[in-house]
Amino acid sequence: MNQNVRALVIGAGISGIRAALDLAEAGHSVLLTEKALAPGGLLLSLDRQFPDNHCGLCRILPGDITGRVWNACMRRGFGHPDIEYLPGVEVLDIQGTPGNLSALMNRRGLKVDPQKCTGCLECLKVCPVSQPYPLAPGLGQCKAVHPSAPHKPDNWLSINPDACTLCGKCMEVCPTGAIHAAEGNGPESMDKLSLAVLATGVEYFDPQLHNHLGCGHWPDAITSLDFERLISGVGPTRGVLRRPSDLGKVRKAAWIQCAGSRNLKLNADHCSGICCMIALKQALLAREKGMQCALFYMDLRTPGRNWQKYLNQAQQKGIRLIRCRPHSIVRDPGEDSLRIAYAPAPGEQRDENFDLIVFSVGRDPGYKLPAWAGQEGVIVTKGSERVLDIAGSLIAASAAAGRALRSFSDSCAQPGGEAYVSEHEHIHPSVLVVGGGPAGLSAALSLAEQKTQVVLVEKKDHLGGHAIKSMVPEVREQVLELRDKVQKHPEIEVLNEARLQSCTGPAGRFVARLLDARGHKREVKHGAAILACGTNPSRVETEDPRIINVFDLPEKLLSPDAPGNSSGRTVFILCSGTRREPADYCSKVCCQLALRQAIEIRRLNPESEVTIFYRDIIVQGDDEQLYTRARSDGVCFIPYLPEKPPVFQAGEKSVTVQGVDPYLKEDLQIEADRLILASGVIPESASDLARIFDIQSTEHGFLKEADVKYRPLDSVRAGIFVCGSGRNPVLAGEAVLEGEAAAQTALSWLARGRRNWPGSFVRVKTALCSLCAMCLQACPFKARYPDEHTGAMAVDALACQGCGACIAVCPNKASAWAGQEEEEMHELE
Amino acid sequence: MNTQDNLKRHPGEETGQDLNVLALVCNWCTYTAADLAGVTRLKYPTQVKLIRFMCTGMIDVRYILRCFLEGADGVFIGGCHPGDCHYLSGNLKARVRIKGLRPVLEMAGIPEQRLRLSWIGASEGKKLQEELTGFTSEVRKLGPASFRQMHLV
Ligand code: FES
Repeated sequence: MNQNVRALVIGAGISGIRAALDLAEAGHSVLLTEKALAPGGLLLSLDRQFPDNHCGLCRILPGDITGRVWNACMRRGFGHPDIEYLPGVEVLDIQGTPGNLSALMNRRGLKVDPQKCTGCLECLKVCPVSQPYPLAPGLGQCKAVHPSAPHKPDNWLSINPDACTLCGKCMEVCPTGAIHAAEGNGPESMDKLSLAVLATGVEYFDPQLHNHLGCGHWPDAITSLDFERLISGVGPTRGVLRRPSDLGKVRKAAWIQCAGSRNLKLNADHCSGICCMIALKQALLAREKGMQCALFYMDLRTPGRNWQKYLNQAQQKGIRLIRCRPHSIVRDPGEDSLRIAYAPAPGEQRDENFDLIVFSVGRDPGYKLPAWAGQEGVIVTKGSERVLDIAGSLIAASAAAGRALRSFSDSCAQPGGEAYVSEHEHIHPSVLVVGGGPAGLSAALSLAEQKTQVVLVEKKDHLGGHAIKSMVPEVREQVLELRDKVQKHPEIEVLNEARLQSCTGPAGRFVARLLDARGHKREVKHGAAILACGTNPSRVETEDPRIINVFDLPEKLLSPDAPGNSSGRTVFILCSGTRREPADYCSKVCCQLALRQAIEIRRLNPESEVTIFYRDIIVQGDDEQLYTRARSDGVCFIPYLPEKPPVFQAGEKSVTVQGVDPYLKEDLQIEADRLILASGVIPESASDLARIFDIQSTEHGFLKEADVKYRPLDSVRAGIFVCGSGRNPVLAGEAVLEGEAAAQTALSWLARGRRNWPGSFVRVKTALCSLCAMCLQACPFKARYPDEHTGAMAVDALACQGCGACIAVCPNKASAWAGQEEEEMHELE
Repeated sequence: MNTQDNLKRHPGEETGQDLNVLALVCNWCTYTAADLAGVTRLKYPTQVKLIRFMCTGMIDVRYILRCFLEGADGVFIGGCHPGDCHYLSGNLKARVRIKGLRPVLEMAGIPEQRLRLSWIGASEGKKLQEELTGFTSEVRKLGPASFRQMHLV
């Protein structure tokens, strides 16, 4: 195996682990450092995660490195033969040039030998120190020696070097001598690193430091991170929700959104992006335990197809959503609970008591990347710049790993080893990319730059998708540059105006049939496929030139000499076609587009009036600044309720828009010169693709991933990957990132196939097989196919995941575990 | 009921020899939950013996029948929550299968309380403890399985 790249991955949270695995699976050696003593990062303290409220950390583990599934959940341990994991190591500085970086690290803590520690916890009894429990500060104390993670990691106990007094009592009582004085601690430098990936994640806002609404003063007002521990089954209260102040029962809880985000006073003009979802999840979990939950918010930001569904679910379960920012929290004398005072509408003052108040914290506005992050050769994952959800972190990490590898693709050979599946059948080394939008382009280019042949199939006659008409010059340039590179790259064959017709064959040996631009039939053999189809704007049915789709707002209309533009009135209606059936998802792109257009219209014609009717302005990260800017530029924002959307009528002189003023509670009528509707996007070609490639699609026609959190870009079929807006609406920049990540995922998969594949988990006893095809239906991964040579069913070794579903359904006992007989199974007792 | 009574009725309860409860659990969720229960020092009845399967979807009804035939007093099946199966739909398949098995068990004189299916996620060590304890005491109420009482097996 080629080992000439030696990578350093900093941070063993979910991003770091993913990046390390991607690098290792491409055949390189990786050093993975983590400041804390257990891998897993923040995720370790979350029992259940949105949007399906399940755990499932086991799913990102490399299932097939040794040919057998890892028997461990990632919470308990982590390992890969090519990854050297260094816990308790902090990276202080990185210097040098790419290919020859040297890192200065500081090793601390870790004095309990995980091999010897039996977990008897005798040391806990004698430790004289008491410190706030690092995983849940404010929720109790613990000793200096404490479990390093709520769930058992590899190194079970750890000693906090800052709290330890070195009294040595624990060393005396430890029956196995697992605790020893620090050895090898201190600064240390590591040379000859090819590259470094920074995947540390961001720091969270601490409302206590800013005395945000009295957080810190009231013990029952906690942060969302603390709440996770409070509701955890292995938390301090064993999953029973209790008030931290007096351990009283919690009946009513409130969440206050945007603590430390979207706050100009704190210089935090950003949206942290996922706190709305976190709060909804926490409220849902609390609701399951019978609590009454209320959520105070400004805009509920649930972009995309999955998150909107989650919001609907929360509303159905009876979580109260209150649009307003509470102004104070007090405790009345003699009361146990805290009182929130808020003003849901002008002139309306309300008080409500809650047992528990949770602040939804996001990225700390003061958070900065370390200075050495700008060093050449250091690649920063997106997850270290802003808060991302699990899927987002994994995508960003894979993309970063891909970028790292591309910078070295010239100097290092691809991982060696024969490409084979069985003796006669070979994995085809090329990849089919479907869709030439930003996601498809970046996927194709990433693959090609890592010396993989690519066939790029596009339905239209040009590449670049809708993004080449983007309003943002940077996006336009980025996509045009990608397009040029793709068109020039020798490894990429572009098929414009091509129609895909079918894709058959087992994983790694797919054959796609298509009609090219001239109507000629073609067969493309490929080992893996990346489906990167996009979405199209949904149509606005009107003849009236004054009513315009937000996606069509032609650039010329923005120019000062366009008719009716000088001092006209423009009205936008957002979510006019989406976020309700039949398109009950958020298209994500419309809000920021409308904001940009509104700002532009106001800039060109300062006299003009712009009004935006909206449900929630959904912009994330630094796009929040667009919203701030639009408001300060004098754009008028009017929220509306989904049950009462504004109505419009085209008249002689103007378009009349009728809505309700939410504050005056009066009808409101605007005579507009121009009405712009954000009707959302629809995944037009996704369901066709899903059919051709035999993967699942959602009820709204989006491509479905294998797992929304942990395998966002895999489909259930091995060797077929999904990315871009056809999977879940994304902005162009995110689509590029997804494309890179999908390319990396595909490459890892191909690389695994190239290595000595140990064969499948299940085998078929051909003499017993009666071709009843029960297993074809039972197999969730489509790993079964009738084999012409043997006249029996066969197992696609690359697709088989070893669930054993086929064994249970086979009426003739023809399916069996490879290397294990039915009788042996019964011998188990 | 006093303790004396209790002891008389269930000799071997203390030592965990009065009952045979087999728990067929899925590797990814319930087995991990069992591990977590161990790590967090939660106790569950010693009568329970865990058998690990990759997924509840591979639990053939023959395995369950075999368990009863070989002298199990209760069979507990634990898998991932619906929608969370590592192999997409194994747990749903198990649910269908067990639903079909119940009448058959009834016919064979095995009351349906002796077979329990429940979903326990990887982080729910506590739930595993509760479920197993609850199930064991329910089986205890039914007494040893009739197959065993008749000394057929
Ligand atoms: S993997 Fe747990 S039930 Fe299928």
